[in-house]
Amino acid sequence: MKHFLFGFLLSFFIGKSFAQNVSSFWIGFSPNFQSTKETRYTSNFRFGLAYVGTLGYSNYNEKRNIFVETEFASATLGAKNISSTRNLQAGLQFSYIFQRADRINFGPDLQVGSLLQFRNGVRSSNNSISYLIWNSLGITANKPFIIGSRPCNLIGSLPLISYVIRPSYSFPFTDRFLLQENYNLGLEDLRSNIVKGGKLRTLNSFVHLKLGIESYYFVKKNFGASIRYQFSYLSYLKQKSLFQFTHQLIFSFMLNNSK
Amino acid sequence: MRSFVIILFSTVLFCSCNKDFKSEEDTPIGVFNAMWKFIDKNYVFIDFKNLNMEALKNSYSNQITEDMTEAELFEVCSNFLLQLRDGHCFLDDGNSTVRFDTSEGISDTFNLEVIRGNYLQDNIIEYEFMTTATINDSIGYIYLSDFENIEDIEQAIKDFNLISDDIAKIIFDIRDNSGGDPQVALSIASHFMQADILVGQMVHKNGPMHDDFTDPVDIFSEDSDSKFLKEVRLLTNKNSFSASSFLAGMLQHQENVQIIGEITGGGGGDAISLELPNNWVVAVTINYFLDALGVHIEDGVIPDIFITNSMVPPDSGIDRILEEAIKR
Repeated sequence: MKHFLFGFLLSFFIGKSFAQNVSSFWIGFSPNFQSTKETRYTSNFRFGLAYVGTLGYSNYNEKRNIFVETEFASATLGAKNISSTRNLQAGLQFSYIFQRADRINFGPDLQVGSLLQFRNGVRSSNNSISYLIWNSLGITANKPFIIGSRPCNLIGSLPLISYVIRPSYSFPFTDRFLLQENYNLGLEDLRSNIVKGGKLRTLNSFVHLKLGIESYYFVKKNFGASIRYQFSYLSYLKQKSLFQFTHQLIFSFMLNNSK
Repeated sequence: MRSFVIILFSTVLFCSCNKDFKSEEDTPIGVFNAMWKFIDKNYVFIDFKNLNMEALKNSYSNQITEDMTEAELFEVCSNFLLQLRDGHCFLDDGNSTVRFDTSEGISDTFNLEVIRGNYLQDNIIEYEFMTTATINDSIGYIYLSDFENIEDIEQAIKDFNLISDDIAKIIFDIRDNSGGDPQVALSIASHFMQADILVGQMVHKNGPMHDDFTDPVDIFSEDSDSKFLKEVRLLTNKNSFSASSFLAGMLQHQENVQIIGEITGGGGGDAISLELPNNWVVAVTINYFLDALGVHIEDGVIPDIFITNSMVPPDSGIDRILEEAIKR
């Protein structure tokens, strides 16, 4: 979420009018410390270090900021336990933020994300995998500010309504598979039935809160870097719950193009 | 901005108050409580086996003290688990695994070497989990030790069909077979019957209450290009567990199939497992199978003809169950 502040500050740094459209691309890498409690297979939080790759694009002017970012994380939790877990997490975020001078910028936010968990060293077939897949519509907001001479940005996003796909209470696939017409041990049409097996959830049962602070460094007119600390909280509270906290330090390299 | 921040933090606070958020502590009583809760919310046979979970909790939690050793705690938790009398349920501390012995002390008298040496002809083919041969010109024999590989079974049935039209009967032996993939059991059963025949139903746990179950979902036999629809004799004993019981349950009501031997060891379900606060792993059965007439197989599938080898001296070289199958 480099959007507004980036454009705003860029106008100072490179002496361009803010009325321009400015496009930015960035690629980032980060360590990510996560604690996850998937009550489908563990009674306590598991901790581990993930490696995250981030790819982003934004296009902004004085009225709005279009922002797209995707990230992929991989972690092994409980590596020394009898059954460890491989977590693969992917996300795509699309935001349209209305820019409001001297006020908090906000706008709608679309997210598609997944947390896939693969257990190692287990002999029980019905919960050797677990997943949380979500498609969400929510809000995002940011607030630029200056620390010393350093441009910074406070950012946050929260889905309000989500289409969430989870395994059934005791079955590796969704509840949909336990209906007579869909029950098929051959697992034909697996993908289609998984996608159709989701449920609409609101804030009382699905939360994916992201909060962060970011600072920018410009080496040249069209080249810079940023560092972002991001905290995220993910939870699913229906039947077998899932909780995840992540702390992430993202280092990004940025390319800008003004028109 | 203020309202936005309030929404954000109240959301996190709300979620953190969820009862599942708090973890049991890594103490003897915490480990036991986590295990008890997991079993109480997930074990599928609590009502079927008339288990009084509160009484079990009181009985075994009273045996737990703060200063007990890991070995002592493991023994108490294992004893609690064994009350479920279910071979799918286990407790694993990383060094050893405790599970209920479904054979309950019955001496194992099955011996494949006796069959190889005294009953099979020389055309023996050994697969990874299977042995095939003919007993005479009209009887084929398949021994299956594990439900892992359907391709070998398909090949064996094709081979029998190719050897001769005179093969009028297959003896399919699953004694001492402790199970494997139930899907393989369905595939095997489908080779001995027409397609789309109701072979049973699955019922799944779908909530934390003891009676939270899905409606039974029907399971039908599959199509296959290597079916054997002549006479089949299925040989079972108490060590025929899990997928073996599934197979026996699926074939039980087929006219061309007779089950001969001992009652199977049961185990009509799949399991899920949980990591406890001290990293031990406990597993329980989460669904169950009903045969085509709606009968549970958890306590075992009763054979059509009950015969046991337990009275036969181990060095006699005689397999009474197999001999009965040859005669029938």
